[in-house]
Amino acid sequence: MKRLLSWLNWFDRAAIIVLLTLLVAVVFLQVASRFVFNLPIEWSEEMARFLFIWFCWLGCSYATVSFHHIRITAHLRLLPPVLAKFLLQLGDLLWIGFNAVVVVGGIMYLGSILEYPYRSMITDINMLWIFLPIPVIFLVFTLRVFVNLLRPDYVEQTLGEQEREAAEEVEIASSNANHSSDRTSKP
Amino acid sequence: MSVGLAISISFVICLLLGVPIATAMGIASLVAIVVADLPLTFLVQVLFEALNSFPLIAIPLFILAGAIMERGGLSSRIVAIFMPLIGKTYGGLAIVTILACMFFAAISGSGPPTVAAIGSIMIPSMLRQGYSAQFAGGVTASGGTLGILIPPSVPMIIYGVSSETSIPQLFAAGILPGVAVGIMLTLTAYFLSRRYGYRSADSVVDLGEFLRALRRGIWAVLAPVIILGGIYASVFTPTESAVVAVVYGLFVSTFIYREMSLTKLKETFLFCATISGSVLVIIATATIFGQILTLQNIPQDMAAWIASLSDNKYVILLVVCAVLIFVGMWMDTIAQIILLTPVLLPVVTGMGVDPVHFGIIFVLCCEIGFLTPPLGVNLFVAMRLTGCSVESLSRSALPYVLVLILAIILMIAFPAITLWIPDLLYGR
Repeated sequence: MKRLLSWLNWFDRAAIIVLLTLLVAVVFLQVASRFVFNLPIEWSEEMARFLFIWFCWLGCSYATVSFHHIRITAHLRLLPPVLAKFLLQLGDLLWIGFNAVVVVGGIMYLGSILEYPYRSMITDINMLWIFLPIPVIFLVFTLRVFVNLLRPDYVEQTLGEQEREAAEEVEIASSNANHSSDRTSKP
Repeated sequence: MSVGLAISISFVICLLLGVPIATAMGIASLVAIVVADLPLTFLVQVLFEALNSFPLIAIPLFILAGAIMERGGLSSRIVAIFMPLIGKTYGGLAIVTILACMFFAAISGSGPPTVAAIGSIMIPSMLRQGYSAQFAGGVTASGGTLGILIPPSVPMIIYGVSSETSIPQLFAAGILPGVAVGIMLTLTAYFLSRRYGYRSADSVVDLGEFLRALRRGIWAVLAPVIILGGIYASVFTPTESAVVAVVYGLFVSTFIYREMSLTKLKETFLFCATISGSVLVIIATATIFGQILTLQNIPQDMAAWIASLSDNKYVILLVVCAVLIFVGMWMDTIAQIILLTPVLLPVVTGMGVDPVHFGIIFVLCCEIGFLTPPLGVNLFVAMRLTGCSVESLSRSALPYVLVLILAIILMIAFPAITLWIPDLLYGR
């Protein structure tokens, strides 16, 4: 189980980096081909949108690993930890339920596109292929929500989402500030 | 049970249980689908299709561009340009903090990264010169709110998409208010510093050093020109300009400032994916939620109710702002914009308020949310940088919050502050 999870994290990280690189490349190509070569390309916008859809859902699933999903938690912090934990777990069970509905509904929807093909306007790709990864991503996403639920630091991680995000920002910026002041002090 | 009631109850219960906002909207939509007997595939279809949008691609790209420029050493060069100009002015460093935030805001599209980028350089300097940690944190947190008012701005993109308003026009409308609010915050910092006696006795204005810093920082100075110039000249769409910003940032930080490595870049990409993923999922489920609410006439009913409170445009706008500021204390900016735009926009446009003008007022209200507990994200960043508690920082940010409220009132009274530039540029 642990190995499966770390393999999934590795796969998502790799896929995210590849997708974002391609996304930047395709949109930049669209700009460059229009200005530099004066040859507007037609397929770039649609291509970018498809890459973007996969990037978003992967990012959304991956954000679960580090408890980054945005919640309203101010009121829960005022409660005794045991009660807060109970409510949060109840809520996350609802989350798992909703994701499961998306997986099942997604498969049903894909079935209907298989029967009545729905094609993209310019690139003429069957949207089945574009949407196919989404239920799979949701399956992994659901697994991650469930695994988080079992973690010993579940409550503090869930309640501390905003502070942790702030801490990350600061860590990055300050390591960078030290680094660049070292550099600029040298002539 | 009426569908409207079922939606509201399930949504509120989910929020109280601490369910992520995106999922709470999804669950409420699911409840509505069951109660109203709609097909399940409707939900999935809208959910999958919601992110199939080119303008939305600007969001991760602007987040990425800001993150690259922050890590790539552009922020420290911006600060270095302003430093030689302060001399013996009261609150010189506080003024530089806000000016540098204004500048960084023209590269970055959100608030907390602006606080982190400028604060990590300026707060240690302020502490060395005897400013209190609480004051230094308050100034930086407040200056960082400009990140969303001065274009590019992620909240404006989201407002533009959900209200079907032109994003370039919103970006144009943000310039003058951004500069005006920046000046108002600078003056506040100046007067407060004078009261506390913060100044550096021995520094002098050094024009030579200023010119040298300007030459070293010229690539950072050009960034906003390239990002925003292309949009205003209608040469790029916002998404294209975001990609130009990414490529420009990569080029400058790798080849000129030489502060970008492959490991750092990998981390930046993953950081961008985590932030974008948790934001864009809200947009996806909010799309279904919004469609179901509209099917049930709920925004229209709420709009009619708010409009029945008064028939004076200014009273309604003030009430709407009060609601926005209150909600902003509890809710994330982006979730707030996605949820409340469809409800509040018809109310104010019905009174003859321009949607672009309202967008800027909305963003200003969100700025206050960055500085007010319990959920004031800029305060959290400042807390990390100074070690002060959120409570003490929110007290030191209070004068700036009052100034922001004054700015909102001015914006409501004089729509020309926001609309003059877009009218001029786009001849509306």
